[in-house]
Amino acid sequence: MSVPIRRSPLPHFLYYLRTSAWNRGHLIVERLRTPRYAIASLFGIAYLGLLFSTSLFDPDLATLRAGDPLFTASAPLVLALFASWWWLWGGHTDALALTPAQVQILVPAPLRRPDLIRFRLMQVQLAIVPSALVLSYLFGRGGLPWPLRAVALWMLFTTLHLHQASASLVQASALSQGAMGWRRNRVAIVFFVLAFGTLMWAVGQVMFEVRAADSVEDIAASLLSVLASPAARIVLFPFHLVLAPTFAGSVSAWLLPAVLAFAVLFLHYRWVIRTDATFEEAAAAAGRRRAERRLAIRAGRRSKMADVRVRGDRPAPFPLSPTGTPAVALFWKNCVAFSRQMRVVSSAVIGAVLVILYLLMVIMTGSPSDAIDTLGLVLVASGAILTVFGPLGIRNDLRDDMTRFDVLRSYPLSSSSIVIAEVAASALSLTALQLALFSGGLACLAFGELATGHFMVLLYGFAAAILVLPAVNGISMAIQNAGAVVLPAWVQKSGTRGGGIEVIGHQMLTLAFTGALLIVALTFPAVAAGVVLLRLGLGGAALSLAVIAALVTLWGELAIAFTFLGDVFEKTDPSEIAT
Amino acid sequence: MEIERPDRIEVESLTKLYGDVAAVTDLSFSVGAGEILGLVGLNGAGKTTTLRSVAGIIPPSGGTIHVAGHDLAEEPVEAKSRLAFIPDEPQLFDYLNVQEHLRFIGRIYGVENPEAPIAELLRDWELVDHAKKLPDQLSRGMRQKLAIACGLLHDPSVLLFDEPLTGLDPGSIRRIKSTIRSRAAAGGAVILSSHLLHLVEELCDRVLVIQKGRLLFAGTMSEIKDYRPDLEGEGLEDVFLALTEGDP
Repeated sequence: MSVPIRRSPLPHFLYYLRTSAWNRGHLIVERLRTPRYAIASLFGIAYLGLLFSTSLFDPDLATLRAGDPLFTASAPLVLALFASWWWLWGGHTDALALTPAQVQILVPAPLRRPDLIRFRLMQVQLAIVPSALVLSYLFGRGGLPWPLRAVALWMLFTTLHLHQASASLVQASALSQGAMGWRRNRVAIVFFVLAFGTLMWAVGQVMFEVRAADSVEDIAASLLSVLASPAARIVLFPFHLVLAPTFAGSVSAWLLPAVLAFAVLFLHYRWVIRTDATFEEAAAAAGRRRAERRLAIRAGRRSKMADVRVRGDRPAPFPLSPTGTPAVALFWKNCVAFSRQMRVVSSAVIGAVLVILYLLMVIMTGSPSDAIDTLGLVLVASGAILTVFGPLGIRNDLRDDMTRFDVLRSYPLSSSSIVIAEVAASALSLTALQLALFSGGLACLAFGELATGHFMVLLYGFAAAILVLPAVNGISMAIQNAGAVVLPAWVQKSGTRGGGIEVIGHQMLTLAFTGALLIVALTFPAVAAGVVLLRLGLGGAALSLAVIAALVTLWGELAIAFTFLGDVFEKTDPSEIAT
Repeated sequence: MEIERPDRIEVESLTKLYGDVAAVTDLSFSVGAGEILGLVGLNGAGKTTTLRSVAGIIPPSGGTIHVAGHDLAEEPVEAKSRLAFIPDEPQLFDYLNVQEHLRFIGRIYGVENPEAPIAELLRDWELVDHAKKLPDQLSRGMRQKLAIACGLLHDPSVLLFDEPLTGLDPGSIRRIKSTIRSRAAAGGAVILSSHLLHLVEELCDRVLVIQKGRLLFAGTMSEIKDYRPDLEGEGLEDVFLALTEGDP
């Protein structure tokens, strides 16, 4: 029978991290033998090389910024606002997240809670150290030697992570232990409430001053004066301490701030390790959420869409009749998936952002009418931009369903009807989103002055969009789905492991290839419409006929695409699909 | 003087709440040394929550859990060092191969000279040819075998099995049955959660039926059958279905 372990498990954690890193590297090298990974990696490296060589990463930028008093004064405020967010809402999400495997293997293991926390802190260093090195090399070549800038950035990132972890532990303790948890953490909670109150007061002052300011220079001066007030200085002092080494311009100016920043880091470490909170459940839940988010990102649902928690209790966008065309059920299933991925909270946030945007524009322009015109244009432009980028993000079609290829093929449906149902779902979802944005834009423009006298033209344009967008989006989605059907081995399945440069390269390749195909596909309807206009001139009837000609060509292309994709889908070998 | 602690599990008034929803309510039971307890219930009855609480994965909302005499909340390291949790859905480290998993577990649990038992477990669970493979390269059954091997490596005296037969081939099913019996015969306390009632009937000394997180019945196989005299001569499956009748 094993005896309880008293010695430190840190060497075992190091063994795990080292071995995992080695195996992961080995796996990446192995994968490079496959052409699709090798080519994608080359494109990824080329893309990153291009990105890093642009003026965006001007080595003098950091020095310039570091010398900018507004930047150095407001950076602690930004950090403080982030920290407040962690304390209020976001602290428990990722800082101490454990993967499902770590929960299943490490949590039942005979380890003390601080050891589990140390393990998580060690694991996070695998991301922090390379980030600090790369960022210091890219941004920090002016004035301070880049290794020192790297140390400064490492201390900054590590302290921020420890602070986030502290917020997580206090939250976990307060939530899991009830009144006792609140009592145990009362010092931290009272400290936070006081600091947060002062911070909000400072932010309120800044907003008040900004409203009274006449120019950008006035806004900057107001911000500096508020941040220089004693209360703001006291609250932001710890954030100044952790940022100071990063902004240092010379070795001598770096040394003392670095010692102080390290002291802050060490105090945070002691705080995290000594907090005896039952964080495991929150860490497991956060790990699960993170795993889901990663799967969503790999499936192409990026950013906020990736953070979606699918709600099964949300009603379907339309009811499914128990009888009727079977393919409609497939279409319905994908529409349900799309609607359940859209979060009410996200929609509320978007609405709030638009309102804030409007208010800011009113403040800046001084004219509610100009502001509402600008807002209207932003909404219309957003809808138009979605024509290009929407098909990359909205994937409730074969790109998600190729993981269920066997099930799809087992349905008593023809291959072309499966393809039509799948493509129609994502194309019409995108169209609905665009029309909603256009409607909002038109509503704003109706109340503004910009469209005065031209509003009927805009309404005609909207009517044309209702007719044309489904077909255009259908073509775009058909091209995207062609990738999944024609080259299944090249399509990243939802949930498959992968990441890094080859994924970036793969995305760049997909974007370039599908963009070129879309241009070719839209050329024919444009030519058809152009021929009609050349023959009949620019009259109202001619315009209507041109739209009809373009539509007929688009639908013809779609018919050809569906027939082709159906044939390919029928012949696809499941073993070709990427694993 | 060191007090001899019996290898057993004692659960007293275990309650686990998820918000307002009670997954387990006021559940008490014990498992003695050398005993195999079957944990049965319908889907969502709270079996996995109970097992995960006993394994120390989920902190209970109320109640106490003692493993081998150690309070899981107060002496977690001592309690967990005697315990193995073998889940129904093994979650393995993405980038550790089979052998490295076992080495890591050996180190975490402080197994003395782990190479010999690792080799034995690899041989017993037919993992020798897969020793250098990562979890992604293993079949469902092989992953389950690795999880079992990881659980047995530190020679635990308290074993928690959650649907242990999932994905196993007939040979491995026989082996796991024999492992459960031999561990109990050696003085271990075993909880076996399964929907396979013939397995529970075959292996377990006592059975615990839970329904909607509450204890519905606890007793030996003969006691549970006596509980419903109208079903005399029927198997555990019939008695269980009669007991949980009407619960969706």
